[in-house]
Amino acid sequence: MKWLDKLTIKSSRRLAQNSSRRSFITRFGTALVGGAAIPLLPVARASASSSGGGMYPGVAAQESGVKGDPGDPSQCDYWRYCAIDGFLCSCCGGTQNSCPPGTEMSPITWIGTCLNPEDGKNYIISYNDCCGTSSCGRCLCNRNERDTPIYRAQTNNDTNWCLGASSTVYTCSTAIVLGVATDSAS
Amino acid sequence: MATVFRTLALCLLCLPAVSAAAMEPRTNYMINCQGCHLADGRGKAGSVPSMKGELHKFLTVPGGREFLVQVPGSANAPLNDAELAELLNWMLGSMSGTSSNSFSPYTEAEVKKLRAKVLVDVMKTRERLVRQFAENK
Repeated sequence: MKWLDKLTIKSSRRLAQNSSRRSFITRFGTALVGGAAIPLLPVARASASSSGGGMYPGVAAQESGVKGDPGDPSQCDYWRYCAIDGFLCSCCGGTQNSCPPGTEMSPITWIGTCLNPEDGKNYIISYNDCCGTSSCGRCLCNRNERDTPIYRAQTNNDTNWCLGASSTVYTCSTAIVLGVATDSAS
Repeated sequence: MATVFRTLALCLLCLPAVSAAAMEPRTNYMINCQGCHLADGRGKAGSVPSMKGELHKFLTVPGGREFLVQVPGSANAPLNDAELAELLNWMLGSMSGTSSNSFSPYTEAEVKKLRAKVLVDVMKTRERLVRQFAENK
């Protein structure tokens, strides 16, 4: 066991000769401050800003461009998405009104009503699914207002509404305005 | 007399509430039916039967008038009897290939009565009725 004693003595002497008492504190302090500063580096900030403040990295902020249609269609809180359950086509190469290239819009849809905050009216919204390529996987939005259980299938949004399209593979969902939900009194 | 007044007062009380919530039949169609039957009622061949130019045929065969109320899409719709009657009358008049005054319209009372009876075998009942259209031709 002599060799272990020698080794220990040698290495601890070397350590004592080559380092000051304060150097450990210095290095430890540098590591702490440096670690905390990493998110401030330009790399981290570039990654955060590429989402444009949006809900999904790489998807920039959008607007419908239509007066009376407020909000960002790439965000889940856009007014038309009040009853949606799925991936937003706005984040998948399509828009809130149209399917991404290579997919087909299902004619059979589920229909809900959403309150437009701009004019305070209820609009009838058709959530046409886009079908034909694998699921988009971006901007999942699940708000389910007035969603009904599966035994009331006509307003259940867990159903795969691609059943009317030639392919039943779900890609993403749109939210198309069909009209104002008018009262019989008006 | 007091009962009459009370009933009148009750009716007056519920009138504004009902009319505020009630939707036009077209709106009710859009919200409750259009998803599958499509805007003009043509449906989708193979999965959703067409109503366009077809719906009034049910009124020409025995049991057809009852069927239109008792078919699950009608009977289970989240509409009250008056709304359902109004919706069926609107559909018969606007998408079935018949004019709105060529049939006796559904009333709330009739819908209430028919709706109370649950249709057990929908597909078979429908097949029988459709066969009868063909025979009538």
